[in-house]
Amino acid sequence: MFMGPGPGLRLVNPEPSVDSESLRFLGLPVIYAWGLFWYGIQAAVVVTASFTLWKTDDE
Amino acid sequence: MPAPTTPDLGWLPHFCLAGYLLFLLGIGIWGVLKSRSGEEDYYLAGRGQGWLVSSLTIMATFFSSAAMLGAPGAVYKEGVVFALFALNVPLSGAAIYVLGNRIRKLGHTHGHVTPADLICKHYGSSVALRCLVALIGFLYAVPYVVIQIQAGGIISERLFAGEHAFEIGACLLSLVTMLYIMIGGMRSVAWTDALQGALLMTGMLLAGLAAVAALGGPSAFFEKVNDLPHTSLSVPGTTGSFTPEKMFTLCIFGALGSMIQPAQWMRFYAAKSAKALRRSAVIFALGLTACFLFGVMLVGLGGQVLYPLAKPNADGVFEYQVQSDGQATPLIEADLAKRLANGAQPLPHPDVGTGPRDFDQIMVVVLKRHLPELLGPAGLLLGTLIIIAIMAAAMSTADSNLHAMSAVLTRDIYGGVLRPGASEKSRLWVGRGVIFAATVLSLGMVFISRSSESFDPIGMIMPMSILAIAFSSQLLPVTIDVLFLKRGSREGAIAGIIAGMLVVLMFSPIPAIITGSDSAVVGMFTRLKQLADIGFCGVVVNVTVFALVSLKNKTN
Repeated sequence: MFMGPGPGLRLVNPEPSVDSESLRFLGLPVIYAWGLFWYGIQAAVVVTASFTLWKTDDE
Repeated sequence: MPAPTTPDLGWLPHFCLAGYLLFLLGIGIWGVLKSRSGEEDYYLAGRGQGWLVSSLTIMATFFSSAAMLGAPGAVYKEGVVFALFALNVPLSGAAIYVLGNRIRKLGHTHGHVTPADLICKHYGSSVALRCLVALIGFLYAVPYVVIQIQAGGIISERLFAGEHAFEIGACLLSLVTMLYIMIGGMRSVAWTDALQGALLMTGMLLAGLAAVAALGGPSAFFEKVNDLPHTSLSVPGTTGSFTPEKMFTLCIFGALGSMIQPAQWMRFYAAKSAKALRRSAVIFALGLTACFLFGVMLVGLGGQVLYPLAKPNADGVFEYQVQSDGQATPLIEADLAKRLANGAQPLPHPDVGTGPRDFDQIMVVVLKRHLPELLGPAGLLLGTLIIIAIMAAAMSTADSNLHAMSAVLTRDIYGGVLRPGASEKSRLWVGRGVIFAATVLSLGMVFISRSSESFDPIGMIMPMSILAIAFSSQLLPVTIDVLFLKRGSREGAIAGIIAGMLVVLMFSPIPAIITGSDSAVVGMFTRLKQLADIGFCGVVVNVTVFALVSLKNKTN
């Protein structure tokens, strides 16, 4: 959460002075691509937790 | 790009909507046939919900019409930064298991029905604590119900021609929703939510596909999106409101505040097993975030291309239209943030709407205009189905909140404080009366707001919906303490909640009414609101007071 929608965004946020090429990554807007990347991380964390940490003895 | 003319949808929406509403009523009647007598069955469907119904009803309750109209509207207004708001959903998903399973277990063991049952049992019976928890539930539910009824009216107005389309739509949505909750209770609410949740997810993804198709496929879509103004493709967005720090706190407290509100809390009690909640958590975190990122958010981005907010002027500089002192004036991109900070408001493309509040119309405009153009009669049918999915989003949130409000007011206030000895049968009838009264009251507020220029409760309730999540976030410290820490005291819990709620109230319009909008206090809280989420500010004070008072009690 800190990296995806949080202060970590400052790492990729384009400055106003940059050219339009710097606003994209693999053809996508760089902020949108950043969001997709962290969605992948979050999804991996939730799936891993569901197979490991969230296995309770009442199941 | 010139907008195509809006096609006439003919009788198709009438048939689709009538079929959909009749189907919902059928599920309501099925809920009655399957129900057993008793409060536990009416409010929690006998605590036997499996993973599929649990996941869909939790999703449908989480996403209101704001997800289908508000989220694409916010992306259309602010640009790609608001698409990142979708990243709060996996956190909500994790909370379904981490918080929800412990709530479920305690609920099953002790027979709890409302959040106050669990919290008050832990801290010892307390009228003050019960009333406070019930008040938070009430403050969360009311604005949501009103906004959903309003959304039903707006959709009806967009679908059907006719002078009273808004009123008929709002009344129909309220009546059908009220009927199936009153007769079938949680079982009907959960099953209608399951249908509505599935419809909602399909609608969100189809809407994204429609937006991409309208711009010529994924490559052409992103090619055109990349040509948007810099403010639309960077942080903090068009109006400069969404700084990374604000997004961070908004995502955390938006996610957790929405998950511990009474309607969701009762869904945790209603789940059959830990497995049901574990699977719900995964489906929620993965599926719903995808619907957001690959669905409705693309409608907002595509909307900026199809109906631009800014056009290049003779010097090649992007020029926006803003409303200042009631007048629309052009403004170049570099001056935008400064003027918006001084009270000016950006305006959408004239084909989308004429006022600063019309950004939310982008979804309906894109679907209604571009799908029929792309797919012909099939596009008409698809567009109508997605618009009905928006109505489903509104109804599923309204029903869950009405049902939860009924449980909270009946169990916590009527049965817990006013008439502690009341029979279960009388509490059930009072609960149905609460649903009827709350529906009529909400409908009345929508109509008054629409007919009166001087009194606009919806205008006040829209910011109140953000406040509502901030209020429900004030349950977070006691919830964490009850479920995990077990270190707090009853007095600490009461003092913390009161302190947190007072802080949240300071962000409401109340201080401006008392001290005037130019006062130093109002100015300070306005600046603070720009830096961080309201719920976050309240929780910081809430936790501090809770910890200090609990520590003092322990020392004594």
